[in-house]
Amino acid sequence: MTEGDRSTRSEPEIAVIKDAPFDFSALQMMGSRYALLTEIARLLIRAKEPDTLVDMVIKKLTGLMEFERCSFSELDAGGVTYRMRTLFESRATFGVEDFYDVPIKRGVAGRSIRKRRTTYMPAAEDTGKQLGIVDPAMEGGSLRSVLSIPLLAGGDVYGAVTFGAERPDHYSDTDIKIARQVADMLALAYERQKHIAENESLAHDLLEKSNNLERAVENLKATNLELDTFIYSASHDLRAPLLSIAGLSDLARLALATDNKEELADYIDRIHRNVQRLDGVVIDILQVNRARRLEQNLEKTELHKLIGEVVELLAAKDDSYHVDIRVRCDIKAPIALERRRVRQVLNNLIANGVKYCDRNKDEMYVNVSASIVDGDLVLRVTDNGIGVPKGHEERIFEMFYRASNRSMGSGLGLYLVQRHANAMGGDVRFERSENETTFAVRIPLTPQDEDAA
Amino acid sequence: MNRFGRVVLVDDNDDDNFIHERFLAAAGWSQDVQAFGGADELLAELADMNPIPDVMFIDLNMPAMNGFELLDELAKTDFDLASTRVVVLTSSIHPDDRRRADESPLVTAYVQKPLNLQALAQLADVF
Repeated sequence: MTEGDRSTRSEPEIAVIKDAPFDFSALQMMGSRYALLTEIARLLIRAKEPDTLVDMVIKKLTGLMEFERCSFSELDAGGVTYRMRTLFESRATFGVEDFYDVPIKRGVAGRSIRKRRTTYMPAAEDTGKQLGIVDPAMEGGSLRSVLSIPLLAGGDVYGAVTFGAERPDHYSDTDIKIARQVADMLALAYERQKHIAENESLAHDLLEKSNNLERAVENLKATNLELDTFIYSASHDLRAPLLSIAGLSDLARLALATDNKEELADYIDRIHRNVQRLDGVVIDILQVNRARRLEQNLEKTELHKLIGEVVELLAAKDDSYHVDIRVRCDIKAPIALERRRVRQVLNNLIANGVKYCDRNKDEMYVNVSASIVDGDLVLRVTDNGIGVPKGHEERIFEMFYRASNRSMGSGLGLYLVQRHANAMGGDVRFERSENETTFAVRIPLTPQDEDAA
Repeated sequence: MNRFGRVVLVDDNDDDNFIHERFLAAAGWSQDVQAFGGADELLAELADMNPIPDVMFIDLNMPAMNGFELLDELAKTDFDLASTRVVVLTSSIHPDDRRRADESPLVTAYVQKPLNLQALAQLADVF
């Protein structure tokens, strides 16, 4: 085969190749097939995904009948097999064949088995010497010449490009030299793609990290804001009783000067009440803080007993105002619950029902019920007390929010209830009927307890 | 002999109203002290209020309607507050509350709770 032979072949349009770091003059001299491969490489360099680009390249090769066969093999990411794709076959009009997964053998970059013919790729470590080979195994097939060049860059094998021809000795030394240049370029394109992919994943990681950081900052900002609100409200609620105590003790001093024992006793009573109130606020604040840190701890709980304990403690208090607390609990079997949270929820809701009873009514009651609805535990606490003023429904669960000046509480009770309910994966709702107020807490149960009722 | 006629207290804290009432009496400010437990209670009676209060003490941190919201409401009403000295009486030590109170045209003075004889003497000097 001589260069003269090649000059008789048809010459397709050769795209102007820019910015390529290779010597193309030799390629152009050699004719269009290598130039086309060069263009493949150039496109590859710019392509985001070499695989899809190869299809495009195949189309470009359609009109060119230079090779009897040209295949393009790509090493898979694990380096275990080649994916082999026939780029061009002269006998067929045109066809892209399936990938062939070919195991790589030691000392051999890879081999493809196709239609009982075997094409050996040159050994990766010997590439300098075996750039072009005529495969003896080809003898049985129609291809007499096979030129197979591994794609090597940066110490990695990316695949191989293989040319086959039916004529023996179809490829000259110059062919091999130029094919090697083209293969190097393809390998560089692959290497570059790999780096781009790595950089992209790196950039993606970086972006994710920065997003995470941004989220963390946002969370921190929100927490700080919450903390500011908390401190503002807490400082007020802690200072208010303290300042009352200061005023009352000033008054006590005046009463002492006039030896008015009756007034003095009144002031001391009031001081005592404010001390209790202050203590209540401190306890509630501590509970809120603990609710934040309480770790999930499911304990088998006999709910009717737990409710009974809470009710007993509340009824025994001096300020229970003879409110009738009635309990209905259909759940007799023990169920897995976060007992501390459920206890605080019950305690706060029932205590509220008692505290906000309507003393003008002959009958004052708080109804407590527990049932399982759609696999959730539903606790309902209903009272016929003074209720929540209209327009305050949205805010009653806010930290330190008090809807009424009747309350000497901290304004943390319902906030705490909501905190607990949410922490258990549930929620708390407020319902109002004509003369009743209901708080309903929904707590999802573990699957084995869903039918406990 | 009392220094002022009617004095109005608006505070959700009953103890504070009680304390302030006592001190106003002890300091010789007024025997006619009317205490309201909330802004809504005051607004409900404002129209019929007679005599017009000489001094009105308003707490800031109150449930339902807070002190600033009450000041806004008062500014909107027809009620003649020209001769009434409005004092913000609060436990707040937040600078923003102080600034907001100073910016309100209705407010004459900003006083920290609790009132006592000394505080009332100082306040009288401001008036």
